Amino acid sequence: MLNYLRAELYKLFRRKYFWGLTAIVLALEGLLVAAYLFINAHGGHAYFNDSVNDVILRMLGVGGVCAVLTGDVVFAAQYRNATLKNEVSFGLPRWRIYLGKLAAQLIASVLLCLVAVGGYVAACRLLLPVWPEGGDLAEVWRMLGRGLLAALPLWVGVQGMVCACFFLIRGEGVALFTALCLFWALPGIMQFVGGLFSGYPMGDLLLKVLPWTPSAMLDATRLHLKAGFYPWLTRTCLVGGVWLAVSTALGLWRFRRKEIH
Amino acid sequence: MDDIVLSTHGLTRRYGGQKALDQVSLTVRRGEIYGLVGRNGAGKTTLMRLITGQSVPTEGRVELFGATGRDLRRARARMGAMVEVPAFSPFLGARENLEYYRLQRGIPGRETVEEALELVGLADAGAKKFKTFSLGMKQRLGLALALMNRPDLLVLDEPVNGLDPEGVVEFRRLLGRLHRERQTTVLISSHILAELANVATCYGFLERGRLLEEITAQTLEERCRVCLRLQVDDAAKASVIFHIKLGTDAFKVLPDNTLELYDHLDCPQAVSQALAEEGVFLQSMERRGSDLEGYFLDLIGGGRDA
Repeated sequence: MLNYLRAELYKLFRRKYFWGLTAIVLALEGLLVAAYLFINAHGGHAYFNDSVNDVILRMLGVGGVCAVLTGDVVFAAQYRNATLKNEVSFGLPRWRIYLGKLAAQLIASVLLCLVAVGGYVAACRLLLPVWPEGGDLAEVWRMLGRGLLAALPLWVGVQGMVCACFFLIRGEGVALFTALCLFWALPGIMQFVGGLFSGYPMGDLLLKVLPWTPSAMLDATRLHLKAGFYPWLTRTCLVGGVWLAVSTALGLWRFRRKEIH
Repeated sequence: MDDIVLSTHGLTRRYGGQKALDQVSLTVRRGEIYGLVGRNGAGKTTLMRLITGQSVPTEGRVELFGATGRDLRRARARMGAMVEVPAFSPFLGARENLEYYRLQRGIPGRETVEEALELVGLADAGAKKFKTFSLGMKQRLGLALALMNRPDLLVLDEPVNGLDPEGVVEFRRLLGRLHRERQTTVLISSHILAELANVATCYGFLERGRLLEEITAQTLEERCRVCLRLQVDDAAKASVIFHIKLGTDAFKVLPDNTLELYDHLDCPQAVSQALAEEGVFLQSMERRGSDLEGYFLDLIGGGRDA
């Protein structure tokens, strides 16, 4: 497995797509920080505390989208390029291929997350003032840490689903679209259909399940960072774990006998 | 038994209701270059895909180096394969692609990559991106990957596709070298039967998913040898005439008063005259002889492309 991971990371770091994605994320963050500086230069007040707590914690859902993109970067269109046959014909077990790519996707996501969050927080800390009354910096770090900690299991769950999509769907465009839909569009659809059939068992069930979807939970995480954080963390671990376990089990089971071209 | 590198037992692969491969049982022995002959859609690639684990058989089993079932996967590490078109990451260079697979397979020593590139004549193109490669270069890189783990068995599907004439000659030499120096066993399919005839030491003929026949190159040569085939009323007397009057022993007596004469091929009149002079009645005489292509076409009973 270690050899497999080494090889995947070797390929990952040689992909322009990965560096391009990182550069785009950093550039967008740079624009945001530049906007704060512009506001401050024109009499406005953009503080470090708000830029971290409000912006990052409101954008935890973006991490799910990044998981979809890192999935695409690591999987590297293996069906289109027909490269999986090189792995299978050497006798590498299919579970190792599957889990190896999932692990590489998780590593890529964690790296991207570290660079994105680290870069943004560092830039804000260096360039923006803290609240005039001093503010409690320790509280900022605590909230940030809690937000990321609670989001991590959900991101991992989403990554499992993304990996299954790429392994089970041959066209990487369709796989990407499906993964994005399952992560982002599904809660909206559930809400719409649930609302439409509210009062019926099906509609009520959808509305009950909706708060348990990763996307909805990532959006709601910032509301649970003070009171009730630990039950929320347990819930995110549970939901993330279930998404990871179910999607990986399904992916492994289907990939086990999949025809490789 | 140790001599058998690869065998399939009743291997069948169905796609929907269609049998792509039907009860194929073949045997490849150590040191053989086994040529798989068949038309488009005969099942050559399906067979190779089953052997390499890219596809799962509907029925039957593959035995590789004596391993089958769960152990089969591990035995595949002793095999190098190039099935269908060579496939690599387009955004990586040739060297990077091989290095990726070297790391993945846990093959020790970075020099392995250079050796493989050297072996297939791509040492100077190592930095070039795979997406810029010509078909011939892709074939060579595919071969380099197949050879990188110094396999005991090479499975090659149409390996000379896209190679220029010089590349075909080089490939033939390389295969000969591997066979001689490393005793590598090879299972190879090719559309170019003349090319296959240059390298193979035995053949398997596939038609509509079924294995029609397995023969050695020696048997094929015997069966394809050019001769005059004669049917006479007295084969014993005719053989004496061949010996005494025509001064040759290069003939074979077959059942039904039939003889095959491998001499005097350019002067059948002299043969018929000698027989007539001695009172042997010649019922028929035809020039026979074939090559791999002819033999295969005879076997499948048609003249379509192989």
